[in-house]
Amino acid sequence: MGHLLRIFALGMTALVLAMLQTTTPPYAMLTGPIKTAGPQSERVTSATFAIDVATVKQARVLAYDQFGKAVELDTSGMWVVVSAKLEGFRQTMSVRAATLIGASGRRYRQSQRAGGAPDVLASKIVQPGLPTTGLFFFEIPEDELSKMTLVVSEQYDPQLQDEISVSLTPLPGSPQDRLDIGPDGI
Amino acid sequence: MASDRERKIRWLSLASLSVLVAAAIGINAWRNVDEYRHRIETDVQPGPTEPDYAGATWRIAQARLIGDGRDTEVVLPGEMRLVIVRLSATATQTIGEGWGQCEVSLGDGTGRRWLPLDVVLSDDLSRDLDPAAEPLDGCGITSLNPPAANETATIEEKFVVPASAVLALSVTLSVGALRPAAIAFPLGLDRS
Amino acid sequence: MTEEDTKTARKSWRTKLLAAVGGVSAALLSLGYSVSQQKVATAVPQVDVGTPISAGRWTVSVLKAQVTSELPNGLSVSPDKRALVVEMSLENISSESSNLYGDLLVLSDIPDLPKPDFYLLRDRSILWDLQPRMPETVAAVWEVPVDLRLPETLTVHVQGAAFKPRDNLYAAPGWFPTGDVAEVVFPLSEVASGDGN
Repeated sequence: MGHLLRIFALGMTALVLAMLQTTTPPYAMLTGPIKTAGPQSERVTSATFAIDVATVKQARVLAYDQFGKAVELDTSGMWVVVSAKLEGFRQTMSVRAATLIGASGRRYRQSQRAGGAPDVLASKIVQPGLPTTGLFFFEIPEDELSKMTLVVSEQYDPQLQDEISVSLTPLPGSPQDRLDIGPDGI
Repeated sequence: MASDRERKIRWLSLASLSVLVAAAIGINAWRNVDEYRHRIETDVQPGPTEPDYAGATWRIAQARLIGDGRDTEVVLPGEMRLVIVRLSATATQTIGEGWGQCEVSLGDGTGRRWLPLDVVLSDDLSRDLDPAAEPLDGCGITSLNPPAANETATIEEKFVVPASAVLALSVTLSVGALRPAAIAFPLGLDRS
Repeated sequence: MTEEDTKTARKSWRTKLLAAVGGVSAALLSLGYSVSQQKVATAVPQVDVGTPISAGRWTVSVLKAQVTSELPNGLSVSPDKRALVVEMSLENISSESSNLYGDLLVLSDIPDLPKPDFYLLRDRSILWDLQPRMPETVAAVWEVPVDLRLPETLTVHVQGAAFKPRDNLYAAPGWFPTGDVAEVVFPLSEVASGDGN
């Protein structure tokens, strides 16, 4: 009788422990980002900043001037250039992290190859009350273009910080062969 | 079979575990709160015009508003304005490393906070505005080499703010060791 | 000795025995595991130049290796150094952009090598992130002293990585090293200075 009871208690303890283990939320989820989502047609607002995606363009070659020198960048996939307006609400900040989630769900961070392009939003400082416009640059395989989501935050892998997702309107028609980026954007 | 004494000790250790765990969590939380308090400015002293803080008496030496074409001819686009703040500090004692992690910011009373421009941009702007003068250092650089007792140092910080906030702006200064205590001065800039 | 005492003594003896058996079997298991690991390590497959090697996060095919005085971005190496350049086709097959390719190749023939710099040959500039499913031809560059004797055939060990959806410490997803997955042996050609590649 005593033995049976003991074995039963042991089994119950193991069961409870296994339950606790499987239901423990992972660390990454507990300290993850504070998410806000919206479509491209709307301004998407979080507690600390907001984003307005104006236009999205695709091209096979990206061209711009850097320090007076012409730069041309090609790609094995497609360049996707997002022009957007950021507004900060509380404190001087930067939105350094931008990722494009493609149709397959893979995450494409903004391309540092185009880091010297004019008007790169990620290197700008966003002051409260002063909306800032600029561009995000991505390199992505063509079969990812059909459904894309832009994800922005102050830095990559935000912890307990705002992260905004904007589902982009599908791109119309065929891409441009070449996209010139002037001092006034695209 | 275990004796009564053994059983008693066993229960005692089990019971003390709860106390120890609670104490560990408490100490950890207290440490985190203390660390957090040294990063925020909650105890802002807007009081006297020349407050004593971090081993010096502070006063606002100059506040300039640039971008509407009045102070200089520079006109900045849209709502954008440049605010240059100079603070003078006369050391009342040896400061040493007392100004470490110095922070200066502007606030408009509604919770919005502007941080200063970085050193490179700030110096470039200083040279653009007055090519002849040597740019003044900000708080961070001055904290490495603070004034000796009874000497005065002037620090300069630049901010980019929207024109609509200019009227309400005040400057807040704090150092790591004394946070959450900070001092603040209204800038008294007029916008019209 | 009372009956009670005998019982206690027998019990404590049994406990000791159990602990000893447990300890010894744990030691044996761990020994066996490391021995089997050693065995696996010696059985690294030899792969031909140009064959894709699947190394977890990366799929890599090593193309060629040469010693030169010009970096892939067109700049010269400092006069007391030479550049050992290994060209490869590199594809990120993970689900996100990554620049964690620094430990992918190990040259075990040459002692005390610094970490290599990676260049993107498409741009003739420093390589940053590699985007998922977008293979690129890249070059890993080790700068070595001019007087260092280099072997005529180079052995490149490709390091693998395995994905864990929940790691043991934080239950967070991540890539963890699994050691050598392949070995490529090929001739090291010398490029006359100024010739570039």
